[in-house]
Amino acid sequence: MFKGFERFKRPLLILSLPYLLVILAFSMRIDYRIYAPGGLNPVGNFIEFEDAYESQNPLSTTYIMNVEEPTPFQTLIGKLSPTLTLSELPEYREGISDSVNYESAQVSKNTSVDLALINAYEALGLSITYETEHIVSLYYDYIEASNLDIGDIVLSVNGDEDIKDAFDRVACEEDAHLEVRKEDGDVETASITKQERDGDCLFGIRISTYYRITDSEIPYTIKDSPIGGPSGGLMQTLYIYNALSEADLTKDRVIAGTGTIRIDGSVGAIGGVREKVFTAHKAGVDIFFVPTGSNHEDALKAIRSLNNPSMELVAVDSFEEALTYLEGMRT
Amino acid sequence: MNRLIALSIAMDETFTLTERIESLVSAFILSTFIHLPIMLLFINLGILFLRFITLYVILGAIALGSWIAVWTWLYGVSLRKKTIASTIPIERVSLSRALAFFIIVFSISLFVLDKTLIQYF
Repeated sequence: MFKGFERFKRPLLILSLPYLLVILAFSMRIDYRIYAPGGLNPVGNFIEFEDAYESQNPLSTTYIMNVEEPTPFQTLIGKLSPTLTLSELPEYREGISDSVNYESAQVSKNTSVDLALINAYEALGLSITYETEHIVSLYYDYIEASNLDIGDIVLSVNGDEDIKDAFDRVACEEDAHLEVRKEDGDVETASITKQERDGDCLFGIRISTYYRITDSEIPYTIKDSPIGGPSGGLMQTLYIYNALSEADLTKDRVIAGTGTIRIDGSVGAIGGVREKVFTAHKAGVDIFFVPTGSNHEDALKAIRSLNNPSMELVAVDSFEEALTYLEGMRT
Repeated sequence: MNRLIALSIAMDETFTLTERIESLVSAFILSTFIHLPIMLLFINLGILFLRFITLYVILGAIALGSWIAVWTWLYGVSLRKKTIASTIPIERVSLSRALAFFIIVFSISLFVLDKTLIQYF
């Protein structure tokens, strides 16, 4: 087979062990998590309105890279680099494959966008109707389930539409029979076993509340984007509000931020705030919104560690607060 | 160009199918052996330092182009070892093919990676 390459045989044999070690260092996965700075994602890139008002600057969400189970090489870089945060992978994140992680982040983003639309439309007095549904947003690799996928809408559990109570009533090692609506609209049945794990009895799935929009006064288009997660909720709401109102909230300022949005307009905490601050600083952001509490404290620490930070950090509890702040700055 | 294509055909016809497959497979293994750590390094770094994604995409495309170019070149080297006396300029043909493959794979990789990575991040 290797006729013609005989002279490479000896060096190849000598190099094979260090070579294998290098390959392992670049490909083996270990139980750590690395948060790395990412970039800004203008909301207008993935939410579009036909007759949106122009704004001077985009309103952007801030994304970071969440590297779960990095390679030994990445872990070493994570330890050495001051801009990366290395931590042990939380136990509840173990056993989630990359593809499930991605799909889960997409579901979180989609539910977040619908919440942002609802909040912004209601703040503008535009009509919008929605239904409350239960969506499968995550599952672990140890679960025993058939015909259950991320993004499925759970309609009933063992014939009961009160999903939470019905799940609670299922005993350990017993099956729950679910009626689910698939992405294509077909209603199918699925089953899942409640299993004992680490002293608890769990299904190993996460069901989130999804406010699915059924009708809206102004139509919109959501474009695909690989950036997922719920942390862009606040900025999505601000963007939608700005795009549908005549007055421009941005003016000469580059505005970005982070924080989830809830149905009542309150802003929820997020992960990786330190890296998001670094990302915003590099991108030349003027105003950066963060949720109050520990996120704000971590953001302040991150700002203090920067050289010549010019970014204004604004801690908010709700969309209303962020809006009031920007409107106050407008004049 | 026509002469090069004629030489290329002549070169392939000089060897049996078994000889060519042998050379092709061994050259593939050697080229992959050389390039695998490099490509893994770019993937590892590209995930962590997204700010430089364009740089890593260009380096990744170069590595892919280089992988096929080295594979092609080593194929020629292996064939030459099998017939040292041949008057066909195997080295020249191999290098020309390697360059052509490099340009094709580099361009396609850059296009695909741009559409899937650079434009999103």
